[in-house]
Amino acid sequence: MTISIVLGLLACQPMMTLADESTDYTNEQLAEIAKIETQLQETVKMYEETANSVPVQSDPKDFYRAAKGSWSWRDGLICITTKGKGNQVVNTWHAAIVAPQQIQSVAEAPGENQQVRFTAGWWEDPAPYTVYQVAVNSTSVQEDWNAGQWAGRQIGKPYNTKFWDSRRTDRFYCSQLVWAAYYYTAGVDLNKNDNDLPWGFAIHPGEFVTNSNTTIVYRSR
Amino acid sequence: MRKRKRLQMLLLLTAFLSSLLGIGVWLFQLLNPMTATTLPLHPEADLYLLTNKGSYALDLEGDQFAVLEKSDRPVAEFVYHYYPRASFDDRYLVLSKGWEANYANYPTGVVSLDFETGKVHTTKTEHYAHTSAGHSKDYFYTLATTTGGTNITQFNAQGEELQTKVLPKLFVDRFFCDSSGHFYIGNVEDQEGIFTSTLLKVDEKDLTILEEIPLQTSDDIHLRFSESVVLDETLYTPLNSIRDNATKEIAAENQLLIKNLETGEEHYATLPQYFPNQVIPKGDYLFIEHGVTETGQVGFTVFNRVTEDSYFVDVATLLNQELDPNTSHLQRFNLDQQGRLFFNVNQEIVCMDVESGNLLSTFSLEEAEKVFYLWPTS
Repeated sequence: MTISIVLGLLACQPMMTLADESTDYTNEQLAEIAKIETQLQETVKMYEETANSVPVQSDPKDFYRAAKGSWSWRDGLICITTKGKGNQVVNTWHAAIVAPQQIQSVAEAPGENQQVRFTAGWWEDPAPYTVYQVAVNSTSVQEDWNAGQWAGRQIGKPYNTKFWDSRRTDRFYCSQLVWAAYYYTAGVDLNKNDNDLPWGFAIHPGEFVTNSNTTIVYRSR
Repeated sequence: MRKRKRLQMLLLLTAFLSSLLGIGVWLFQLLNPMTATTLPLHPEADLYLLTNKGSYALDLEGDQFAVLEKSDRPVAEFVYHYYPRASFDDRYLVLSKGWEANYANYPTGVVSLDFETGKVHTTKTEHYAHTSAGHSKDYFYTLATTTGGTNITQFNAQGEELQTKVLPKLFVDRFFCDSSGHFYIGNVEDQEGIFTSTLLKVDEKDLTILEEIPLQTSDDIHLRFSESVVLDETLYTPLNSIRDNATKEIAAENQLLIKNLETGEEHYATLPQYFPNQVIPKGDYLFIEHGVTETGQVGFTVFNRVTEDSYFVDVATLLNQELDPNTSHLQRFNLDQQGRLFFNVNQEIVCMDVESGNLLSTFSLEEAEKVFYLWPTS
């Protein structure tokens, strides 16, 4: 029963890995995860509605002088897309961070059985998906660069399927990598606590676009 | 006892039916692959257009494109838009297909297309273009950057995997070379946050690094080159921008570094627009795409390697239509021997005369149709 709940929650993950990971959960923890799951559809809807209702702002730290509201390759910008595996719990959507090591690239944790990697090139997820970029408000250009560089140095590390174990730095899921980049380099905590449990916290990419510490500088539609 | 026997029979029957079903599915997939195994070749074709919706043989008569043949099966399910493809001997096209991520998962492999026989050959490999791809005169390469370095894998024109090796470096995007026996690859050294650009010369025999060539002399700045093209042992690499290593601020650039790799002599040519990115060599020309979101202009530079003259083509003006810089990316440049340049923007294939800069024709694609490659026949 307990295994089946986790499998249901994290349906897109291969069974072997999940079985290994899920053995760590107690029945009580699984019940708490299930509760988050029931709320997630509403939470994600709220993220999207909120992010689409606020105006896109100029990026004050953009030395490219890109037109307001344009896609930007400034180091440390957080990139988010609403495209993801629809049946996952916390890591629906996807997030990455512009990394300085490679030109026009992001560092990202793409998914199960995939290592953190650089991906070059613009993001193009057509409707109904939306792509956003957000800037962290309180940091300097140098701190944003540091965050991007830190994320770029995590390449090769495996995917983290334990979404509520977000403090670890030996493996990452997508939004955990972005959160950790700012948390461990600039001390900025982008966790809004929307998906927290008493014994751990998970970061959803939607928390970056609905966050008082960030500004949306690009929205694809 | 009888009950047990019945149970055993039931289990056997289930196993038999499952095997039969499995064989059936396998046979169906074998006989009906999702992707094409042949190209729709046509003797009159001027251009082959490969997309995610299928393959076209197109005729360009005067200013009109006409479809001569069309196959509804694509040669690959997905080809990442940003990574280069390779062509060999005016006959083979090799590209890396697929993508593995939770947000987009497509079968991976390396595809070789033979435009003489029409055969499409797919090699299943885990060494798909994970971080990037590139090619030399004879081989196609895929790259995967990991903590330990970059895993580089060599394929021949037929798409067969020949060798793979981990090089203990972090590499920038792409490489390109017309030499046999070695190739060059751009590299960024990260020393405690001080980045410097270098060029590595790699032996094609065993993928060992032969030489490291510095591309900058000062540690105060980081010259941010986009792509490297090496033709006749001359490096052409657009300087996209310069980062101040102290403040991390970035300044726009519009230069093209031209460096003779045999003598070490180098100079810069000024380009007519800032943020040069992808560079595609064809004959005497380099076609250089510029960052559309940074410049706010959808266009590219035509650079003549012989005269070092260049001009900027504003594609919105060329097509006489408004183009949104956030969605109008220029891709898949190719040139035929008659000087007709083909490229893709949004849902259009554009053909222009490279000498005059005049628009010759356009061909409209279906909604959400993505172009994998444009292959002129002459």
